[in-house]
Amino acid sequence: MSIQAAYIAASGMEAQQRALEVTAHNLANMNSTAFNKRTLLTTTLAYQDFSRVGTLTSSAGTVKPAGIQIGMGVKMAGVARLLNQGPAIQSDDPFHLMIEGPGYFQITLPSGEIGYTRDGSFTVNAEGQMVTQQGYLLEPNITIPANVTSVTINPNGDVSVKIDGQTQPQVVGTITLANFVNPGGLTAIDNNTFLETVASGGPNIAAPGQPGFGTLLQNALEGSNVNAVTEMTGLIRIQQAYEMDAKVQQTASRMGEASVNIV
Amino acid sequence: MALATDIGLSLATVLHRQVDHIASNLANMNTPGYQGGKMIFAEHLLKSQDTGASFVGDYATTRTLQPGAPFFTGDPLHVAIKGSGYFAVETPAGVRFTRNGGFSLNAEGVLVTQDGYPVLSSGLGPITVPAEIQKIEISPDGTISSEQGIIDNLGVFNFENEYAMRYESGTLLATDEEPLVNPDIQVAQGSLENANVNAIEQTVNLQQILTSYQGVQKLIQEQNHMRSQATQQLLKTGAAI
Repeated sequence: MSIQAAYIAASGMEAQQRALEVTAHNLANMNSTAFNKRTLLTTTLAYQDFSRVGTLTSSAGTVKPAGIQIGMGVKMAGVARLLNQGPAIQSDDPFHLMIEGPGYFQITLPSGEIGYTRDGSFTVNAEGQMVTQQGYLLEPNITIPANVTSVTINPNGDVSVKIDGQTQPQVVGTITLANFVNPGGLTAIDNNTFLETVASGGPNIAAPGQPGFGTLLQNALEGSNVNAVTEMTGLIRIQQAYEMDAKVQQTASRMGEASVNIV
Repeated sequence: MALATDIGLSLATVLHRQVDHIASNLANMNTPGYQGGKMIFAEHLLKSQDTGASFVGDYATTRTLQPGAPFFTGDPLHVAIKGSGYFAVETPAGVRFTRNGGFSLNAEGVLVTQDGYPVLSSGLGPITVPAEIQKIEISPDGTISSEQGIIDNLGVFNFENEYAMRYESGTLLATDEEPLVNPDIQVAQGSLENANVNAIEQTVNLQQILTSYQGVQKLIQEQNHMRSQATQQLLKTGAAI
């Protein structure tokens, strides 16, 4: 008895647990470079129609003004990624870059696929190539020659170096950015990197500063766009909903007990 | 005496459905755009009985139309309606309506719901956002624009009888009523409307249902007891004769 209510409440408890996991992930990544806050969106599960609205109640043509519809619980609809830019964090490393505006850096993953990230904490490997913290090559790859005294990356992505003994700086390459019609449709893999999907569409590639693309900022990293206060208020909402669902479970169970006690 | 048990059962059945309904409201406490509801009961008089027995039946579930509190998400494609009205959504089954403004873009730049259905403008057409824009702005009157100018407007519709709408799937509502463009809409970008479920009220209702349910089960139990006593008595009398 009352089993349906118990299942409905269970769907609520599961959704709240997932919401808590999303919040925990946001808070854990509060200081991850260029991390995007996630929001779990829920929607209602199927409805059971016990009596439909608008059905005739008499031959005179009178109709039922409201039906009896009982929802069967809640389900997850999607996890939205907040695409707003995070704050700029000053860094002394000349290979640390931040994208001001839309766009993603392209990196070559070990599988040969192109990954997309806004995490601009680059460094150079033993061959002088610009790589991510995982050692994956930046695409198009930029090689920094030996004996360089300074590296300058301008807002349009041109990388110029000053080689010891030479007076003129030398341009060694241009960093390009990728953008998508629906960046929210990218799928996340680890290390704050994304892959293109059918939902995101294919990448548009251009130099920074072109219409629809952000510009580069050297000596800075993008902070996460997680707001601790929003997450905390979210925690309160999650907890309250979970407690209410637990209360329903308790009521359903006690109604069951009352039925059993008849005999 | 059987009648009393049946009346008790009619109440027990209704209470079961009511607890399901409250469970659904509470499970969706954090579902954007969800409109909680109430169950309405009616008395069924049984005229053929000279005792004037009165049963109880559930008559309708109604949606609470009061807007829920908006909560901030910061996502530029999340929109909350302040006041009355519904967004229109193009589904394979036809145009449906919702107060859930958790939108995003698809690969073609079309504004869609979480199910991928296009969200419609006041002219009931899909809204396409150009790719090469930096920032999307949705003003309180529903105008969608970017730094390059106006793109489209977000349709918000009213109905003569909002109660004639019924839930179909998710937070989408179906209706046969004609959608009327809301002339002075008020939307908030970067927010979602939380479910309008009042947790305290629902908990109090749960308590009342439990009390009623325990009461009615007690009544049925008493009836059973009386019946078995009467049978015993009859058997005893029969044996004596």
